[in-house]
Amino acid sequence: MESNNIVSKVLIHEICNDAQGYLKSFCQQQNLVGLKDTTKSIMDIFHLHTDLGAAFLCEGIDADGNSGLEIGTEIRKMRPELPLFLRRESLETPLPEQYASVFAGCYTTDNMQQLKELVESHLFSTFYPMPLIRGIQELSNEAFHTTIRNVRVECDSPYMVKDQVIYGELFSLIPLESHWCRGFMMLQTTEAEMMSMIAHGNTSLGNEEPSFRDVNHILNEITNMVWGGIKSRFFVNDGTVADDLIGNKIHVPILVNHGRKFISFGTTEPHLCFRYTIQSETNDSPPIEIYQKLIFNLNWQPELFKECEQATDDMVDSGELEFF
Amino acid sequence: MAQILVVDDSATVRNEVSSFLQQQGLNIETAVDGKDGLDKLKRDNGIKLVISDVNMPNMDGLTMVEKVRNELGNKVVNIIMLTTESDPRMKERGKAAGVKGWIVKPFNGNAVIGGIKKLVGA
Repeated sequence: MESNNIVSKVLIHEICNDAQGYLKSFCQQQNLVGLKDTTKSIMDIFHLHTDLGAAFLCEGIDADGNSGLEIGTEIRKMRPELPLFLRRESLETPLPEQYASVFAGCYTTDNMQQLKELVESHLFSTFYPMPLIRGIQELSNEAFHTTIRNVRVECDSPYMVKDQVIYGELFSLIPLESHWCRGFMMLQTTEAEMMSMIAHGNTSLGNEEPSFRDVNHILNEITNMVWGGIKSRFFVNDGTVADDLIGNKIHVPILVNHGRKFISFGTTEPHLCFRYTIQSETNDSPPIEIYQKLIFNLNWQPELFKECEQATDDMVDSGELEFF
Repeated sequence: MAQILVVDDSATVRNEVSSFLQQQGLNIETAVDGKDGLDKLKRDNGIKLVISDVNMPNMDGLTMVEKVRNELGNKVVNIIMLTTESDPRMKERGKAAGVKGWIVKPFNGNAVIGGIKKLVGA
């Protein structure tokens, strides 16, 4: 599947059937992918999903005897960056003081407009130009096919992620800098699947017993190719901004907690995320999942975005030798 | 004695380019960055062509080209860049430093082998 609609995955923990119905329609209308915690405990779901945008809870007591207030408090400890929205029967009385800071907002099913406003302000607060979205998907797809041979690549709909949890054991990080944006791109994946693909001859490394360093080489090259493509297509300076003004600006520390597999870029804005599945055409290796996250934490001025059509016209096709 | 030096920090690119060129009957040496490339050029004056990446750790490809021309005084060896970079100003810098040609990645051996053989004199 390949789509350009930006969505977000949300966890739904709801005990009322009517409210579940309202949320189902709401999710469809608001480009949300609702994950219901019907078969697993809510905490298990959090361990399985590192790419959530928010969680919808309710104030009532569930079958296990837990209230949404208590569950929200637990989630807040584990994933403080994740906005939690609480359904209440009435908004006339305020939440008890100890819960007030746990939830990003409360709503009732009588007024879903409240929830819409909450979702828009917490999840879809950043505008991403569609040509950029499409371009990133195309460039990444090309980089995967160039680096890993004889594979099918699928890309989910791009989505917004509030989670700052790292997927897999391996990630690459590279700065993205132009006159209209500054931030980072991360590619996150697991080692074993990539290693299997190398061992089965799907890369140029040709190593039947690859090491973790071989995996690093592959992810490194994919990252480099996507970065180069983004730079060429979207970051060509038309000369109106001095180059030294682009790179020589502020930085903020990037914080990594290895134990919790957590990374923070110092921003509470959601990350733009693409999930790719790379499957061997011969199905002799398990599929590789790659999460590509873009965080424009230092500057984001999409009104200055311009796809570099002129520059693209001037370029020689990739792979061909241009003599000077 | 190598005819071509492939300089790239990516092992996948070094392998891919070297394998293809070896299949074409060419002798290949590799280097992992600009510094390593410069050292190998100092030691092997039989190299006819350098195919180099631009963005590399320790020493980037264009700095290496400038050093080859100015510090080594080697004005003879042909150098082409194989890179994800396609910014015209970057190419201009390469041209001024004495780069002979530019290939935007990914590497497509069949599309460039004619030009490469010409530069090597093979």
